[in-house]
Amino acid sequence: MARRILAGLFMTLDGVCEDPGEWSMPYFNEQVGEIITANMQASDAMLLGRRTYEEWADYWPGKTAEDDPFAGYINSVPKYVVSRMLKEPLKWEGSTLITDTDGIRELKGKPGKDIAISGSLTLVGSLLREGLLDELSLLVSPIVLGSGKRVFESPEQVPLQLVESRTLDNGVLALRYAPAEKR
Amino acid sequence: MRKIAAHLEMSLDGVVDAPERWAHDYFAEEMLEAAQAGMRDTDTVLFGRRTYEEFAAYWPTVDSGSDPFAEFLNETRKLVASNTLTTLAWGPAELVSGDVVQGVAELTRKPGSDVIILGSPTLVGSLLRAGVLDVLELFVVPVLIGSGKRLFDGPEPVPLRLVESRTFDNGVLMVRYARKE
Repeated sequence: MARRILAGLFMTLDGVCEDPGEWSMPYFNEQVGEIITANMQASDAMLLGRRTYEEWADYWPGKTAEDDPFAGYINSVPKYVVSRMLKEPLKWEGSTLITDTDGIRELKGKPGKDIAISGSLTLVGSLLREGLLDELSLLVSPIVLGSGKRVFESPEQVPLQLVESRTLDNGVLALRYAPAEKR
Repeated sequence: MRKIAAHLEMSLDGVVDAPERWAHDYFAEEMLEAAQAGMRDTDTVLFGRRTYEEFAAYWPTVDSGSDPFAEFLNETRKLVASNTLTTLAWGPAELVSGDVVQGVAELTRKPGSDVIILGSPTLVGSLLRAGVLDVLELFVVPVLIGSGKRLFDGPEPVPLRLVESRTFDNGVLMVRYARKE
């Protein structure tokens, strides 16, 4: 069976996903932590867009699990960076370059667990349009922001189906969507 | 005090304009019932200009006798927040002009039942910003639209409090938020 690509994003009620660091902090409770941990454990590879890769490659190497529990995961997980601009060798250890969607399909065809995406909104948008994203997992904070990059910015529409909806104790919605079944 | 509630259809990525273009496949009877349940103690429907004009072109043509929602919309007193409209063809209706936020705040101080805003994202955005909206109810349709007017355009974040969430069989999610005290 082909590996699945799962995007896990923090989102505001008005669809903003950019820079969740600040606005999602007040809503990060134990249940949110459990969901993120479960997503990490279900994956053994990570797909990144160029911008997210560059930001993270500047920040995470050198950080340890003592600094942040996420550091252990993100530094050791095999990373696949989708970009036509970057050139190999990539500076962040454990990173491989993928230059087109065929490369992504090839990755999905290899044996392994799920492939996770975090951030990487441009890449998530491409995958949605190409039908390559298997699950969109959203943690919706009870806040409207008004500006910032949205979860999807595109001239094309993508229908989805709701797979699961859960309300967390602090008012965050944990939603899982898959591409709509073809009629 | 009267409650001001807003009900909108929204795509998963926050788009609220032209739902007639993308929400029609997701209509279900249980959704209409849920929406109407929220309007039980309502004696006023408030609109922004654009939504009023769209609704005014359609709802008077629907037979109130066979459609309870058409009856509700056609019979209930409508208020239209606008500084440009001069005539209101779809009555009973009155204009609310000048400072709309103040006009709506004054409404809550007058005696009467609740006020429901349908669609009208520009108006809803102003009221959210001003902290005058009591309830924000959304039908979140499982579709990504990618462009178009969003639920809110700032400039400051407005935190809310989730009071109810419910899933319909067709994957539409109903969520209700109140002001965060």
